[in-house]
Amino acid sequence: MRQLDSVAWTGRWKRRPAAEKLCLCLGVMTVSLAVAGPGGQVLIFALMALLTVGLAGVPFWTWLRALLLPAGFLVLGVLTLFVSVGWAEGEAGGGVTLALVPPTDREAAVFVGLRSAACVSALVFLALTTPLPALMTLLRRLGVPRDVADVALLMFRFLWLLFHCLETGRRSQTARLGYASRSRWLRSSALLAAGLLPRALDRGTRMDAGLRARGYDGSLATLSSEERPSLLRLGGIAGGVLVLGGVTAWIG
Amino acid sequence: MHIMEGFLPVGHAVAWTAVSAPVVAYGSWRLIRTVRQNPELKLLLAASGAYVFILSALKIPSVTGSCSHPTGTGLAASLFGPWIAAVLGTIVLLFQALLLAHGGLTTLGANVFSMAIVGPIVAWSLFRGLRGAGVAGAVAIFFAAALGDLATYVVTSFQLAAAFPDPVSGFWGASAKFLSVFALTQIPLAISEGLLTAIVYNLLQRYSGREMSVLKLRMAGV
Repeated sequence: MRQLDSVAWTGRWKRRPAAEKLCLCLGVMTVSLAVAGPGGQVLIFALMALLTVGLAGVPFWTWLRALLLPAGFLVLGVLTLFVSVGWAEGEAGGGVTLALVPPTDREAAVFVGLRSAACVSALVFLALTTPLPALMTLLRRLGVPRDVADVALLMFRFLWLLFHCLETGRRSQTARLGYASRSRWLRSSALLAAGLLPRALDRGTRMDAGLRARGYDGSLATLSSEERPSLLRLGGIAGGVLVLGGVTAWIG
Repeated sequence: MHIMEGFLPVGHAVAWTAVSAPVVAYGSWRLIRTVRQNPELKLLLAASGAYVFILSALKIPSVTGSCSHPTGTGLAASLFGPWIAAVLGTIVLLFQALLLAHGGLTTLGANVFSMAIVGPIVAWSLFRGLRGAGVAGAVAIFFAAALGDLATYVVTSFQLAAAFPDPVSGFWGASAKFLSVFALTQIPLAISEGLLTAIVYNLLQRYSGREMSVLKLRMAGV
């Protein structure tokens, strides 16, 4: 998690407008879900990989690591679609039968896997090139209520503070053999979780006191170092997505 | 139990988003109303939301030999109620998609429905019902967390079965298939999460009674 976030904050495209990157990501996902066939999904995957690693300069191994977790779930999901469950009546009574699905359904399952991989590559592009607060600010501009967006933005800030507490606590528990057995593991995890809530509330109360001392009235305006989105570039992205839609429809 | 990005067909992705959106909108409306009245609650809610996210980063032992992560559904729902848990859960799922590439944007609606709506509602109803029936807090939270987690997994299986019905046995065959595949990890995980949440609840009651009362008092209007 920390690595993905750090790459997003330090990457070459961090100052590029979040609106443009989100448009590209959602546009590509729409093409993948609504238009593209198997060949088109492979093309989308390759294109987003090229964009993320080649143009945005995300290190190849970081990109690959980001794909590993979804890939595991994806393989399991697709393998499940390969199996058909039935019920057979026999002399000794009924029983569940398992069989491979017909070839057309196997092709459909592979297609679902390809479509998901293409969409995941678009998601990973967004995650590795855009700091999350930039997306939260964009959501606020797009009409998400200010208070909800503020809670999300503050959650992001608190997240790292609590994560640090969690890591420190876990390290000290491990040093005291807190994870040496299953029962100790469960108890140590519970102690850690129970210890974190008062800390979280304390951080919240302290931040509130600090903000109120600075005239906090419920509004949390922040400065952004992001470039302004350009209509020309947004039009270019929309055009590019349309061309991609056409090409994927053509190659199937 | 997250459905991966792009796994659901477009019609299902849109339909689940349409089903989840009104609940999240209602939760947001309640949150906004309270935060406007008490701006300081914004910080408290954010800190609590971050706590729910961090809970999912805890590793707990699973019977299958590996370790897994709790959902935090039971504790969140019993602390904040199902509506706020739906909003915080949606934000947590969005963060998981954008920080871990876990779940997704197109499947956010489906994941929100199972993990941020059904799970918390089941957990909260059970917790309230069992407490009302005089069951001890730790026992009530154990069942709330474990069955809230199981409800999430059952709903996810149904969502996948509706999208990919079995060619021979249809929706119910596919449901049985997905339920069996996930049961291997999810049932032990639900029990582990129930135990973890019960211990956390006991520790919070014993050592953080003051913070819990403050939280309950301040969240009363939410």
